Amino acid sequence: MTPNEKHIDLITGYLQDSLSDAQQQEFDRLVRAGKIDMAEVREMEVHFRQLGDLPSPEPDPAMGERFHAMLQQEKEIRRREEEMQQEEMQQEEKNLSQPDQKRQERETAGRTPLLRFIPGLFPSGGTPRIRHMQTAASIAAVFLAGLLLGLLYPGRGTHDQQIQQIAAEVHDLREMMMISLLDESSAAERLRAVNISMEIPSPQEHVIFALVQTLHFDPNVNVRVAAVDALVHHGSHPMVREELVRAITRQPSPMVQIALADAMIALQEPRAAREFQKLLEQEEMEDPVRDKIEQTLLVLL
Amino acid sequence: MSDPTSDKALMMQVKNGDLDALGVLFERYHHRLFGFFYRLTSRRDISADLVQDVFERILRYRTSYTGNGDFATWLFQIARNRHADHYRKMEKENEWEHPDVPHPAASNPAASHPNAPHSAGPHPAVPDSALPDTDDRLLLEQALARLDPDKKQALVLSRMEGFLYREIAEIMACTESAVKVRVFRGLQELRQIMAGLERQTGRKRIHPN
Repeated sequence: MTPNEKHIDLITGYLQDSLSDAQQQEFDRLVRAGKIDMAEVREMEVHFRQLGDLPSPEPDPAMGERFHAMLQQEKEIRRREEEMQQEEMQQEEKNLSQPDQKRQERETAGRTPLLRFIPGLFPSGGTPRIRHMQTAASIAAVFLAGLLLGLLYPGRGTHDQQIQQIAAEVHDLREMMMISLLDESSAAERLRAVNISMEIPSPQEHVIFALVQTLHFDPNVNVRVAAVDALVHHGSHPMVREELVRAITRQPSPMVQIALADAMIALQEPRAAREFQKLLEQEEMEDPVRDKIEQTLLVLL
Repeated sequence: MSDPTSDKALMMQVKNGDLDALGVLFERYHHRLFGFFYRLTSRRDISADLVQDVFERILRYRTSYTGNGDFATWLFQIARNRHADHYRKMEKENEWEHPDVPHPAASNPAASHPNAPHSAGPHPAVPDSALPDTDDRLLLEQALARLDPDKKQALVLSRMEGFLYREIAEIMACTESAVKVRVFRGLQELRQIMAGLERQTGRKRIHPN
């Protein structure tokens, strides 16, 4: 060990010209006292300076072209996504207008128990989109027809009871629709199903289970990310936290891993810390994911 | 009010969907990143791939950008991790990187051209050089290429990229003291390697004043 090794802090500060006045005085004192070998420091200083003088290599112009091609491609993907979102919104608007068209039919047919009556409204044929539009329409129809029923037959129970009954039926229908959409082959439909689940205030066990299955097994990463958000929405359910924590080391997708990190912060779930630490031990982890998880651990620990 | 053309402001724009802002950041940083990777790998093709990889990741994970800390430090953190992944992958696949030019003792001067064919040597990396070399510069580049990765990174980030020790500690995920030790030992080692190369090639280095 050379004498200079005892003063690495001062010597490296001297090399980078970052010594404070007090440190500079201490450095000078040690040099005068022979405690710092200035000959070695000078030689280091020369090499250090020379390193800064080495010419930086010039990148090929092709690198810029490659980057801009990638950027262009990403912009195109984004444009398509926006178009799809717009189409979805238009579709939603159409769905909302559908009940108005059917209201008159329902009003004349509303004297039988509603849920028993509904299967008759759904023909087995038609595209999934049409079937689901019909389901959506029926939810509103059930609600409206129920109201009408209440008005026509006030003697069959209190108004509040009837409203509660209708609300329960709408709730059930929404769950049915969600489960049915989750079976669709189209990722957009499954995404819709997950979004519908967020509109269900207190979902039954089988709805939570379906969301958990989606989180673990859906082939589409966007659907899995949406499932994470939906499960956070139902974070008070006992199964949810456990399954979200379990998913941390199971999910290969960085996007889902980031969504899970956000979820664990939102739920303040300390059990997640251990799973994230396991994840950090994996060598092939994407850098932004690693950063995100490290930040998450700071919050959770 | 913050500067809308600052790195951070541009990155926030990227995060919010204005992807063109990433083009500005690319123009600002790709040269430096290329230099950084080149000093670590001594390969132009790998360095270009790694730069592309860094920007691809920024683009893919733009929504996770928080805006905390200095942008350049964050960028070089990603760059360093990308290099580490690349290094591990190469080790796993047992694919030793062939530098763009042969060992310095090789007699063919044309081989120092960046377009010269790759050659395998006993050492992992000996850099190419597009400009006519002085003996000293060549020697220094060769010695730098032989330093161990951590010391090399500390020296490159400190002297060539102009980061403070505190920032390098953040990039290298270690303490500031560890960075200083790496710089110190790196310079010591550099001197020894250069002395060895001088003996090997029979050259005598001219020491600048």
